Amino acid sequence: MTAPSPPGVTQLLKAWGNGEQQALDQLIPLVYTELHRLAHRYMQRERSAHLLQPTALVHEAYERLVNLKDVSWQNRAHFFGVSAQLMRRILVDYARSRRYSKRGGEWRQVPLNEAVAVFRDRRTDIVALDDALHTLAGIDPRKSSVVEMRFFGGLSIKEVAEVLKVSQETVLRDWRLARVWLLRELSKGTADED
Amino acid sequence: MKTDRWRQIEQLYHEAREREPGERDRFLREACADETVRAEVESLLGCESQAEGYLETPALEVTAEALAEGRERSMFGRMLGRYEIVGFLGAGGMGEVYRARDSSIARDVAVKVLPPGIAADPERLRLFEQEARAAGGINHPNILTIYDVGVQDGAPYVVYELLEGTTLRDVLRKGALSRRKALEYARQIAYGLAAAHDAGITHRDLKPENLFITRDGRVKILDFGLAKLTLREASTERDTSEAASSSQNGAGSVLGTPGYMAPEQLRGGIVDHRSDLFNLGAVLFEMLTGRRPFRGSSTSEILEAVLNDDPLEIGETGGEVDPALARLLRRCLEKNPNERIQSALDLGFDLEGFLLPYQETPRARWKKPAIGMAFAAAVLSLVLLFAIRKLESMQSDRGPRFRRLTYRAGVITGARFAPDGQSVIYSAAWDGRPVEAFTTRIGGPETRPLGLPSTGVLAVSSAGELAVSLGCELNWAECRGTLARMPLAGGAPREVLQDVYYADWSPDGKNLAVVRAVDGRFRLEYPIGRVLYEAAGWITHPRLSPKGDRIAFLDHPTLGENDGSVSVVDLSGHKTTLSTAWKNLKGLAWSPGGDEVWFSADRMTRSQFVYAVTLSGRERLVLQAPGWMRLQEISRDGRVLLLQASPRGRIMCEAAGAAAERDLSWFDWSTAAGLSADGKKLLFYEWGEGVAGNPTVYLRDTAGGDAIRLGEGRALALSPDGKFALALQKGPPPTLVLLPTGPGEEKRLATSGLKEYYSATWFPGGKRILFVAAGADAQPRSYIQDIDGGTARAIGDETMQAVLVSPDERLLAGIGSDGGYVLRSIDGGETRPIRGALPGDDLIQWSADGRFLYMRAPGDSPLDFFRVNLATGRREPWKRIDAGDPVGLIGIQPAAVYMTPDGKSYAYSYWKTLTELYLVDNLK
Repeated sequence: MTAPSPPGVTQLLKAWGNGEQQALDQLIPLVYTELHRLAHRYMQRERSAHLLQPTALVHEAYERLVNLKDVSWQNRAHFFGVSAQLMRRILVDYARSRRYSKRGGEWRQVPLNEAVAVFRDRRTDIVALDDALHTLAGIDPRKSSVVEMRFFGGLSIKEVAEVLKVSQETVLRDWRLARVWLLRELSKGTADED
Repeated sequence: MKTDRWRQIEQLYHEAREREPGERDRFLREACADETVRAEVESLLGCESQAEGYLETPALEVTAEALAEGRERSMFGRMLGRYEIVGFLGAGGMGEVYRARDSSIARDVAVKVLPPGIAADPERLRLFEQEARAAGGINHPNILTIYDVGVQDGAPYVVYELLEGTTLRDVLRKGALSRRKALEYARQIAYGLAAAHDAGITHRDLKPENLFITRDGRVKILDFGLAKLTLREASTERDTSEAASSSQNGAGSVLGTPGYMAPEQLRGGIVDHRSDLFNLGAVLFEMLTGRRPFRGSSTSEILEAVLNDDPLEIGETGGEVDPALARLLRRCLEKNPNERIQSALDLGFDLEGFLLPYQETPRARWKKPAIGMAFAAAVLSLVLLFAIRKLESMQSDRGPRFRRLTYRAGVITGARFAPDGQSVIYSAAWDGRPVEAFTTRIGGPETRPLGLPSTGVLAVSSAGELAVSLGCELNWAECRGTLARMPLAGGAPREVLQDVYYADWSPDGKNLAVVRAVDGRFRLEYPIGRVLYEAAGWITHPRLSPKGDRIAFLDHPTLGENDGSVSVVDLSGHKTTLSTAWKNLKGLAWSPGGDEVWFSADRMTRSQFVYAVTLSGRERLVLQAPGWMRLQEISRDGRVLLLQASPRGRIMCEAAGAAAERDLSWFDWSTAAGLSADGKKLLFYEWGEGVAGNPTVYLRDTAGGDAIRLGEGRALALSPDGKFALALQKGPPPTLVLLPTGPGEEKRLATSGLKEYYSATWFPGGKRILFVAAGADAQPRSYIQDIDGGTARAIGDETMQAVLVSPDERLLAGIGSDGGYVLRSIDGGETRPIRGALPGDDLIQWSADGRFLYMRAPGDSPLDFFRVNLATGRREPWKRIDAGDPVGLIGIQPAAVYMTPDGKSYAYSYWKTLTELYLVDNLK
């Protein structure tokens, strides 16, 4: 189904997971390539609604980045976790550099008449979210990880459960509470941040 | 670390969540004594309804979308080869499409930028260029014309003609088409395909997204030859056949929309021109019924149906049933290519048959012309006629005698005598419609269309053959299109050469001289292919001498400017300049004896008379008359065809409370410069003949009444209290001045060494102005200047060109360094993009409450105003205005559209011209 992932992603991920920081330099361009590929597709989709199924595309991109075929079964969970961290790190840096992030909470103001869904949080402030996640990690590290894996890593509830070795029900509960907590935190942030 | 308190909050939250909203309060009160904990849980529960869907879009997608938006902006202003991106047009299956300006000949084109992947592989790049060039070689009015291909920064691009119109997909969104339209479009597509198939090229991805309907109803097939590449692109991402047959989620994205593709395409079988016919059958089915011929609730079901099921019958979809048409559709949608209709040409003929009942016979059209007369033009011409009569009576009986040949309102692009000298063939855009060719008999009232829509007349040969410009695109009342020749007696035009600006026949009617641009340079060729002269600027109006031994033409040193010389070149390419330093040069013809070249021009700006020059360079004035006199042709017996043109710059305005738009134009060349906040006063300037070319500022009540002259200069903006007009005087050095609208003295502002000014506006407080200007380094910067003295102060760095000030004077809106619109605090700091505003939009006004920006979407007509909510980035349609009278409309004047802060009044300026054709006897 999917094409082979770029050579060496898994090795690089392993290396990075083992603390080799140079591996990151090689991983970043790979993630960026996917990012640009996706962005290109979005530009197409914006203008011809029927063209693409975004979820499938993103899924494909994640799969390409984290190809787990050649990772032994035992290591699978570990790599899910590592790749989510990696994505978080790269995307947050990227958001910082591009200054796409605005003050939080803007996602609520996306007009309701957008055809796609009730709303799409396309304007999620990734930098602010990252800060809030750090705060959440101080209170409840597992919930922070759940968000990291779901939002940054693109993992399903089932996959997150596999990584954390807890039940899917627990992940779902964590995910629910973490979201309202973050949401409230970020809308607070608009008022008192610089 | 997890505290007990947090654990308690978590537990209570989940327990409360499981209860009905109405019971939650009671539950919490009972379950929890700690008020702070309870408040925390309540506050979290309060966010719940908003959290639905939150963070469900993965970060990679969020970032990619932001990047996608950013990229649209960042392309603006970039150069791809010699093409400068000036706007975003859309995105399709193979890449983004931008509006671009061809810097070498100052014409706008469309540029499609393809994904960089293609260029990475030399083999694919070669294939891409080969395909694009092959497709570009197909010369057919129903196939998009490709001008150029190239690669920039690893991304290949294709340059093609800029079309106005919409895709068939957009048309189909509104449902089925009328039977006649559906058949007509299908016929055009069939003929386009026939031409391509003839050249050995198949399309492979024909679908409504790839079919473009131009404003004048012509179908253009897009993306020829690119489909093959799309499939290759796709196959590197996933296995094509597998995706097509099994996947439900993304197959459509890479392979085109399923339901148009032929079974052999889906199976990965041999694909040939007959697959295109299946595609066309599916498209025709949808045009007729609004539905696709194969149904299914998922992609795989649709694919399944295409492979195995019979198509729906037209009748099943509720449309009217015509057995013959249903049969034709079935023949297109046959699964086995061998049983399918075999050729696009046959299909075209069959469709033609269905269209017969709709067709007007030429005879029926014949009887109409008198009804089509436009009286608006007649009024204008009365003035001229009066003037001409007077001129006539002052001269002797042997003076020129004018006979008017056209009466309808619009623009004539060219006129020539028929070989018998008794008829005139001309092309005109009447009543705001596309250009069409007509013939009229001198002395008779009848005018007959030649049945050639979108066609301009270039020349008529002595043997009775026409040289025409197919697909004529108007550019200041002249045609550019595909050169074709056709017998005047009737018959289909035969295409000769693309992108021809001018053409003329040799005296024997065998060869053509043409002016066209090749690789961005204008050249005169005679016969076609043999370059006699290549210009640094551009060339217009080539005419062969009566003996056919030389060609006279107008030689313009600067592209797009009408200044220049009258020159002749002999057949060995030796050029002589006969007369130089002319302005407004347009129109040229040889005197019957071949001893003089006549031409229209003037040595002043903005007027046009007829002059003559001998081959030895002696000039004389032939005719001076009111309006612009444009020479078209001189017959062998010395009669002259002339166009009388009256180009004008107009202002239209609708003030708050007014019932309708009002024409507030004053003299001949009016340009709006601002409205007072209450919409009651209009600031404008004149810069035409009426003021002898010296720009002059005026103020006028929007309810009408006389305009008041305020002083010299180009008006820029009216102060918020309406007491001063800010204007620019030419200098040198160019100087900003304040012209009082009441009693008072003109006041000059310090010039601060600035050389060029781009835009200016007042601060809402009326004490300062904001403007964009450039000094010696030619770098435009934003400046603020007090009107009570002092020099201009550049604001901040060069990251932004500010054009508007918010009502509270705290924010600036303008163009950011990447070409997108941005906001910034007036005190400096970061800029942030204005969401909802796209490059190409016009920034018009800040709303009085500061919450919105009024903008205008690009395009000439209609004018689409919208407002952008600065908090949400939402783009709300505000007003749609059909630009004045479309008859003779040339274009909206840039940066001359205004709206008041309350959004209730607006004014805009546009250019228009009306032309009439005259036959002049006795002109010597």
